[in-house]
Amino acid sequence: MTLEERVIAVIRENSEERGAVTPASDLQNDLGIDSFGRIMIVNGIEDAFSITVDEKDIPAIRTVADIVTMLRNNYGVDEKDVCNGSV
Amino acid sequence: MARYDMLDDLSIDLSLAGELGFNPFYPQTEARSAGKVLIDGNWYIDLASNDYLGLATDGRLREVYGDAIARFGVSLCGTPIAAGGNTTTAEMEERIAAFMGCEAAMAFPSCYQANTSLFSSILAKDDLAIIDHFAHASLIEGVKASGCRIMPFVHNSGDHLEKLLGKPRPFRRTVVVTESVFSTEGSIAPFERIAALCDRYGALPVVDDSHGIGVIGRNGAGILDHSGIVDYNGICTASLGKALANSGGIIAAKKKVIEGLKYRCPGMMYSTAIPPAVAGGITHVLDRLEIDFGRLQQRLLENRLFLAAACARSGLRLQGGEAPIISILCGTTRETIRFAKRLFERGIVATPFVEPSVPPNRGVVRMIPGAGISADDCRGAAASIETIAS
Ligand SMILES: Cc1ncc(COP(=O)(O)O)c(C=O)c1O
Repeated sequence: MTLEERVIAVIRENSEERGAVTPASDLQNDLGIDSFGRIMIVNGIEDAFSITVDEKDIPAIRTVADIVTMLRNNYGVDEKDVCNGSV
Repeated sequence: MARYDMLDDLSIDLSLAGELGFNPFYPQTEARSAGKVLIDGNWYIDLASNDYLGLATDGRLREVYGDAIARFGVSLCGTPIAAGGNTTTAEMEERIAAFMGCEAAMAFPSCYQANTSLFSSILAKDDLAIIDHFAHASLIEGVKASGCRIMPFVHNSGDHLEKLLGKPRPFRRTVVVTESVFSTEGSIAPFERIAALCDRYGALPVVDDSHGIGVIGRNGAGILDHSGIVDYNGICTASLGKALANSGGIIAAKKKVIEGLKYRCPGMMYSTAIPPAVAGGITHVLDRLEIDFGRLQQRLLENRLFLAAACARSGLRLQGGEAPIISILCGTTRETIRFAKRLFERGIVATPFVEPSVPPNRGVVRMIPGAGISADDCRGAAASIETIAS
């Protein structure tokens, strides 16, 4: 499983979304996720990757890929963590 | 920011309503009789009101109001902790607590106020509120105002809730907040499981039974009876302005909790008590439910079945489930308001919900075909819906 796939799985587990989710999916416009839904997804990401997301990182999240970028750049999460099953 | 910019910021863009020539919000009802409202001199079939059982225009209820007004005047003009306390309200609180399956209850001017003031009284910074994603604005406002950590859970998902509860977290107290009947979706919470999960993980359940009381459970007793829960170790809130056909809100729980909240809840202590006539009206409705609930519920369910079948035949997409609510999925704000407009043009008032009340592009038009809607009007409404959809 790639990091992208793991993030998509976390989004599915932590939202009402039942349709297609791709890296390019815009949380609000494509997935219909409202502000409370964003909190739910951020909590899910925190639990899945055992991190605490900094409040100031949240406004930059528009798409699924933005979450992946944030995890890589700001929290040092990479494919290795997903492959070895630590997250 | 300069004051004038601030005032500009507070204005709202109503151009869509202007463009569609229709604003469904803040309607100006001139009169109401069973199942009908008078707007701009015309009578409309009322599928917007939460008067599920059609009791709000009942003749006997009006008389009860008259009797209480003769005794107390229209208001005691005091807060419950001071001059507003009265025997009629105390009797109602006792009756409604027993009706809901709780030990004690306290009445507020509205359930919105009950919800917002409850959480500030029981939660603080070190606490956690796990709350259904689609919970009512008053519950969300309430938990936000308490300053506690908030974790929404996927709507009605016991599995997701269990995942959140099962993870060890450093919070002092955890509450789980949900509604019984979700009025925009028409879905009913799996509350038996939610309450059991709270028991298992030591969390306090808080359920807002506003659309469940008078609607589900034996004699309309609401969510606890519907879920088969006895000796409930949690808190219920409910609006008294829906199936119970009056106004006000209630918090019900164990006696010691209510006694504590009466001295802790600012929304209780510092706000003018509900008029005694309203309290008397609620007790009267509780009496009526003992006799009439089966018949009224039957009418409500028949109306719902009839209208839902018309919607389904017309290819409209319905959302939700078992509750006596019809929620038509319309899409964007524009599509939603346009559908409400078409209904209005054919003599029907219904309630559109648009962003931010619902997630983006998930606008719905809600219809509550209350027991007060006559069979004729129900047929008329069904025919209009089929015409609009074709
Ligand atoms: C679930 C829910 N809770 C609370 C309220 C607020 O109740 P009240 O109108 O008594 O303030 C409403 C709607 O009015 C509601 O739908």
